[in-house]
Amino acid sequence: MGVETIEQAIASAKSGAYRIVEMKRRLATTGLFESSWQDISSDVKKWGSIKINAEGDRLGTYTLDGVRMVFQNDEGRYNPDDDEGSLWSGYLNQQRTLVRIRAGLYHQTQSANGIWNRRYFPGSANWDEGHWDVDPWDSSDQIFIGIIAGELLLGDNNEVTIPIKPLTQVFRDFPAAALTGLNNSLTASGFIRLLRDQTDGAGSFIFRPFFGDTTSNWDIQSTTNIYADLSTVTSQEIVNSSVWDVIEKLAEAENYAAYVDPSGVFHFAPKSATTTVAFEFHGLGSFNSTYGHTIKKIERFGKDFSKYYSRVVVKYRPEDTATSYVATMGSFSVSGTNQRWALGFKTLELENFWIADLTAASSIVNALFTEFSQLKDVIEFRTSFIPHLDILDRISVSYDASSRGDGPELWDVNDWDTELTWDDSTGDAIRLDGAEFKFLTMEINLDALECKFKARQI
Amino acid sequence: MEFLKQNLINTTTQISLGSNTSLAENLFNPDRALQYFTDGFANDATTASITIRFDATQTVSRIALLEHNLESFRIYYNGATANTFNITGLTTASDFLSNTSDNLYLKATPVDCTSVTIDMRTTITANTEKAIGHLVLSSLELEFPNPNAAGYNPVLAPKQIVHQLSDGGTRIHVVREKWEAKLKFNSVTESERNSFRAVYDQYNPWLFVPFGTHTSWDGILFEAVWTNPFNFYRFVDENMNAGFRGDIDLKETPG
Repeated sequence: MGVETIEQAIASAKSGAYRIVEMKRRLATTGLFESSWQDISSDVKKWGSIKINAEGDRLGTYTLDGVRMVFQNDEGRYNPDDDEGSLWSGYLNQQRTLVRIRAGLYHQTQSANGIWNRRYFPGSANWDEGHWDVDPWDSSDQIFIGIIAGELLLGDNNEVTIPIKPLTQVFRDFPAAALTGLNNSLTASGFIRLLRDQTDGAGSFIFRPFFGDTTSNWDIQSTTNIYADLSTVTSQEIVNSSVWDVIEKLAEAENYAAYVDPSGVFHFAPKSATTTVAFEFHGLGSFNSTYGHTIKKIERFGKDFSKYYSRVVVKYRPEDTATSYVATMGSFSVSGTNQRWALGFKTLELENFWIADLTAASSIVNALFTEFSQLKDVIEFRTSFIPHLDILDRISVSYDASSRGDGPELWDVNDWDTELTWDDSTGDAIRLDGAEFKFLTMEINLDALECKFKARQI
Repeated sequence: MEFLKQNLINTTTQISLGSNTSLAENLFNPDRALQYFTDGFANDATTASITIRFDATQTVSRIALLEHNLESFRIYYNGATANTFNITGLTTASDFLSNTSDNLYLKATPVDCTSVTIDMRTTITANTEKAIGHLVLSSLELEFPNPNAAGYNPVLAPKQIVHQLSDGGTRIHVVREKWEAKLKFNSVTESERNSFRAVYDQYNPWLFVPFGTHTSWDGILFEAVWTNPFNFYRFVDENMNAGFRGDIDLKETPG
């Protein structure tokens, strides 16, 4: 049977796996990135882990954690740029070098005519007679892009650990007070566009080169609220903030998501989870011929009480008066059906003075209350390598720790009373049948080719 | 058994192809499943050619074609079809009409030349594109006697991740497969010992071919490094004239 889809490749008992790391240095003359990616995969001794986190520092921001990779440095290729043997000799400093990681699976078969067919997933590359001209390393297998940021310290073991941080680092490193073009009619989306088009005054873009040097890698959804704090670089909220601080607050104020996805596209868009299941996870006691058996272990499953809030309060004005707050909670009564009585009150407090007005604050309060006022399941599990999922994907999990099937059982030739048989859920530590979740975190361990997911019930 | 010098093919700029030029690198990429194959030559009436040119005159005495599908083909040097190689063990020169082996190792009388050309005429399965997974042009570094069976231990060692899934089943992700070989010798002469030492001391890459032949070859050929200490200074017996003993641990290079 041929392997034609990524689901088949993931489910395959044996498949090839590839990992590629490439970099782009900046030219010493122009300060701009070189045009081609340089493959440095053969020097990697330890790949590290990549983690995408939808539980960022502030609501609405997704964080892509950095990765620390260990390279062999026998020939001094990773020495500083003033060393002639360094890969950076003749280029700018190693800091802020672009680095991208691509990974995926492949399946290969040999046809009767002696020609091998190797097909890569994700992507459309296929080395065979009909598709020889498709670039096997197309961009869809990119799982991380970032910049070198931090110390590259050499040891006498001829190894160097390179810290690579996500592209959001370019915003964290830039003070908002150094921006030009702020004005008194800026919306949140207008501010992001201002970043996209920010230049050094001589026509050279400041942020865009890190995002493929193209406007198409900026997904900016329009907003309408105008922020007075964006009027001048001397405003209180700007003067001591980084650009990323401002982005986070704006995202929170608009109830938007601000993040850089693994392919290097910056998103400033509404938080909208996908409505269709992107991938089905099956584990013990569940058989599926399309997605296969991918769950290695369920680390944790249960009610996520830490993310349960029966009351949401947003402070959107700095004055300590009642009109600075918007709050919502459900009704309360002492009864067996009232959740506030059953679980107690828990309050989620949020303070953001960028929120435009009462309407915007109420919208945020209602969205948070909808999200967190129900006690929902959370699950953490490890799987074999799954390279193509996104943090916003909806997934389902099927897992049945019991070995018995559903329905009444016949224990022997006599038809036992059905009360003597177990209910189909009795005796199961974990029993999930297509339960739908959305990701909170995704972690890809590139050394072990293993994924770890944390997801919350939808 | 043989150690060969580094493959004379190591850059795409020295390769001339009639089609699919973007696949030139596959000719010297040791991953044999990434083949060079032709485009528009799936017809036994059409001949496709590959020419390898050298910057300077080079000696060629070993030619290896791996994971290929050629039935009728001719190998010659310096652009003249008459300049075929004399192959040890073959009554004809390097002009094959009915080959059926997908791996061929040809030991030729050494030739100093500036180019080698392969005219690919027909394929083992008729009328398909011509393909070669790995092409090696080289010359002998060292030929040495075979160890006994117990002294030869080749292993195709995969770098792989083995996942044990929740139902106890197993899934494997193969990152790469690399050859390793352990050789054990119990009686080598001083001259052989010194020859081994010369190979051990080399920093240039070299190739290991244990049983290369033009008939039923197992295709084991890999660029290797000698990983264990050089221990051929040990005597076999109390009699110092009985020779030396030692081990060679070979591991395939990255790439």
